[in-house]
Amino acid sequence: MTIVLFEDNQCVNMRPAGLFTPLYNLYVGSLRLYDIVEALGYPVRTVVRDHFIFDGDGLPEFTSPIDEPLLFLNASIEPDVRYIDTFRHLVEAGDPFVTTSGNRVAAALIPTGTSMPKVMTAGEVGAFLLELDLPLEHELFKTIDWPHEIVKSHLRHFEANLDYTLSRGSFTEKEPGLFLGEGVNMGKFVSINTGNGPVVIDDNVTILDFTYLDGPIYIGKNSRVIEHAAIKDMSSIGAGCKVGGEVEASIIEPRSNKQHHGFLGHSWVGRWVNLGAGTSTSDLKNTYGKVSMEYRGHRMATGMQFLGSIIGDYTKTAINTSLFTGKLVGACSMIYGMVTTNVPSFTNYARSFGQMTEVGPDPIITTQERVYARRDIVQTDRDREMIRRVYELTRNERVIRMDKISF
Amino acid sequence: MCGIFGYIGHDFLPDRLVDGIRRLEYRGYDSWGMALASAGRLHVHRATGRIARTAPESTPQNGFSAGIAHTRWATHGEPSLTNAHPHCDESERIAIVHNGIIENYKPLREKLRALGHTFRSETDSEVIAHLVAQFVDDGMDLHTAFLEALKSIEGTYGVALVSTLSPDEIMIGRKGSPLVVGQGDGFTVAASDPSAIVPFTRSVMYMDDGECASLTADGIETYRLDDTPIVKEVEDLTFDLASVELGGYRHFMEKEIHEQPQTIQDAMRGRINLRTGSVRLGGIDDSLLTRARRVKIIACGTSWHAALIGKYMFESMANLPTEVCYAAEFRYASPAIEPDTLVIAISQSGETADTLAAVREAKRLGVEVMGVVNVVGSSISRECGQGVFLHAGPEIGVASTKAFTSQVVVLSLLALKLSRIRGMSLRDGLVFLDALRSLSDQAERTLLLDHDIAQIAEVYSDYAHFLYVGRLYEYPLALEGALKLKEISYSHAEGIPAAELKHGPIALVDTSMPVVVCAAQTQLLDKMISNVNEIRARGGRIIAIVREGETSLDSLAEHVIRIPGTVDPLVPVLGVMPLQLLAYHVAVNRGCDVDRPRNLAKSVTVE
Repeated sequence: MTIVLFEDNQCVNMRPAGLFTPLYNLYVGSLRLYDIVEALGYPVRTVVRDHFIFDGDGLPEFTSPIDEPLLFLNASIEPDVRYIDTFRHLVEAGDPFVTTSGNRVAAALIPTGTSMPKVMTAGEVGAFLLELDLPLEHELFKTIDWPHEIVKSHLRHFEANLDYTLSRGSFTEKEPGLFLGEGVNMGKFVSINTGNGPVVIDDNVTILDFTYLDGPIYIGKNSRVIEHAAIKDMSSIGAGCKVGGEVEASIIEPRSNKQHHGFLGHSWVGRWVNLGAGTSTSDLKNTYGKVSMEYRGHRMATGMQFLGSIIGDYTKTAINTSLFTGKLVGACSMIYGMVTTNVPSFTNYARSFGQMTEVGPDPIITTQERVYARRDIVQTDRDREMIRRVYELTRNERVIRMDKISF
Repeated sequence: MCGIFGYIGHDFLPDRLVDGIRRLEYRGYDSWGMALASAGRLHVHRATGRIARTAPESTPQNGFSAGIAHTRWATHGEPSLTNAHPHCDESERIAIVHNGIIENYKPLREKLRALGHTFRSETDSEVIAHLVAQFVDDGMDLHTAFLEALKSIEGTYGVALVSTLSPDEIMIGRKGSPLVVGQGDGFTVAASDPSAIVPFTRSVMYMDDGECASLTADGIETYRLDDTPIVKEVEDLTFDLASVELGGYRHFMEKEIHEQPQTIQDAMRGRINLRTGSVRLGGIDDSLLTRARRVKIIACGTSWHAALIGKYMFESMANLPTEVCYAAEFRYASPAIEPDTLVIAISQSGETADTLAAVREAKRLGVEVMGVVNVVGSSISRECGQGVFLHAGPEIGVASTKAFTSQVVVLSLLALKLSRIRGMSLRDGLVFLDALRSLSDQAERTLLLDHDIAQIAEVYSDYAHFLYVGRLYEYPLALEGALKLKEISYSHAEGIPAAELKHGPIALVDTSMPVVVCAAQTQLLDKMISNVNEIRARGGRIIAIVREGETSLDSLAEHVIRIPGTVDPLVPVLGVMPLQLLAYHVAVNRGCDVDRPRNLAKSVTVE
């Protein structure tokens, strides 16, 4: 059996998530879909969008023929640890099937020897699987179709996924509900509340004094929680992050910083983001009504009363940036002041000062090099080329001048 | 469907082609043509309209030993001289006649255009001639080129080929369209059905799907598409000449009822899109459907009943408000039409005067209209300019049968497309497509009930009045069943919603009133059981149509007809067949002229 993780042509709806890394790498409740699939123990191949470049760090590409049954899994299936048993059961049964989620093909099992093109693009896999006319199962798996669903899915699956993370790692239960990995450096005056769920701190994390950790929460390897921080209510901090201020019910992907005061609530923060001091997200409307998101000009009701912001990779916010409820902030953008609208990728956003311009790939490349250097990472040609490709890919999000911003 | 005919023999005369193809005229009659082959040239004749009695005067009488002929029922491309068969390659070495639908003709045509081919017609069939020519130019011999061309085709074909490259041979192939070969002393014939062969010989071979043959004056070689030789059984035709056009059926109506498994499939052919869980309808601009906020359907008679089923589908599946209008009423009633209304005109013949006038009125009011029509090139199809053809073939019996089921299938395709645009999930779309694709086989199974229904008809042939009842999707079915009985047996029959019985019509029910109860849906069966009890209590004689496996009416109804289960919107497609057969057998028992009922015309071209 070989598992094929495939992206499809609806990945565009997930932007800014999935611009710099395939969607099977999205963290939900401390787990990625890849982590769940890896647990099955079968070889994994991928079909991802064309713009990705892998520098030895990607998964092998899928090409046929493979002389085994193939389990195709949509890279957007929400990382729900309970799917491990479902996947295992379907593989053991071995009966060909296809199953959908909304308008997408979610998964399919095809027998050995099924005729197929040698190579398929991300947009072709779903159609190919449907044209095989396999028995149609009920909707077995839910896909994450829009960015706000990352937060929804995270809140739904956090506790079960966290239990699984605990079972996989080598954590020590220092006191009831407090689980520490190896090399954790805990300050003397840290307040822990595990009454609502476990506090799980992974290897080599530093927790400084006077922080408040209110479970269930997860703090990823090598991260640092700054003094006076409050991390609570199903927050998940990725590896290599530095976090301060108040973080509630949010996901921070690896390598991002929010070192100072400010509130981050019911939000998703991509990789290599820096939220300047005082940056805050609103996650509740003044009217306490349900939040709508705007996607490509269309308003979509989310059904969520609490929803903050979706912030793409490599974006930086200046001091005291205020993001209104339910905002989509692209990747590689520089944000200033009040964010009352969605922000495209590669944008200097200073709308409250009357300016909004495009930022080209070169300043982002330069900034990335500087940021990487602070973490002893050497920027590569691949890194630079990815920024250029994502800039081109997101070109149609922007219809703004190329003027330099000025104060 | 079209008709094809081929003759090769030492006694070849062009009139033999004309004789043969005239016997297939019932299959299609908007245009015809023939091709004769010799070593030096092809002689091709095409004409619109009915087939001539003899070969045109310009046809050479000598120098040819083989020919093919065709009578056309248009599917792709209007009836015209340009689109009439035979079709040739540009250098006129190869001529073909084709019966069927080539689903992938567009990509094939584009590929051939890129290689320098120029096409004369709008038909799908013409690609066959060009494909064979291309393979010959690539270095293949004619035989291999013919097989490769057939392997490249997706869809259906009954095809015959003559060529200057092999003038003493006719090549034929079959997939999905019938083809029969007859052998005589010094000649061989091939035709779409035995009716064209019987005048020449009674020794025939029936070609099966995936089989081909090379016909010469003295023999037949049969083989598969992979060129493996096969031995075919020779059979003797037993039916007499008078009945051959009917293919063994007593009436065209009976034949057309039994064609429905095929016509249901043809209504969907090339239109199903598994990739999107939706359908492709090439004759309509998609923006017409995405813009629609409400629907008005205009029709008359049986088409109006199909329209009513469409209304239920559009509203329950796509949440699109839909109104059904009698065409004559629409025309004169100053209809209120709001912006973004989709108007659909349904007509089998495409010449119904009331519907044509209503279409013109709708256009005068500034609305775009699409048609659901059987006859390509008909007035309504041209007036609408866009729409969906049924591909049901000619319907010769005056009482509409196969056109009705094809209309319901096409409306279900439209309903699915509208639903998927308006939020139906991919899964629900695939489930509905699965139900659609099962219909043809289920229709075959339903028609196996013919004998049982004939026996039921025996019981009721002398009754003067009938009631038909149904709910939701089966209410229009009740209307259609009643209409069929009225049309051809001259019995009085009334279709009503089952819930309306108690509001008056139940007063009619007594022991002399048969009541046909349509109850094959999954919804509201308990309510129908209550209705049946009410009828039974008043002595009504009940004929119930239910789905297979349903036994709740067994002790309540005098006769129970079980049809295969399907999703509720598609129940009318299967449920109508027992009603058609019931009407047919009652009419036959009464000695009525089933195909030409009194006072009726096939296409009502007067207002």
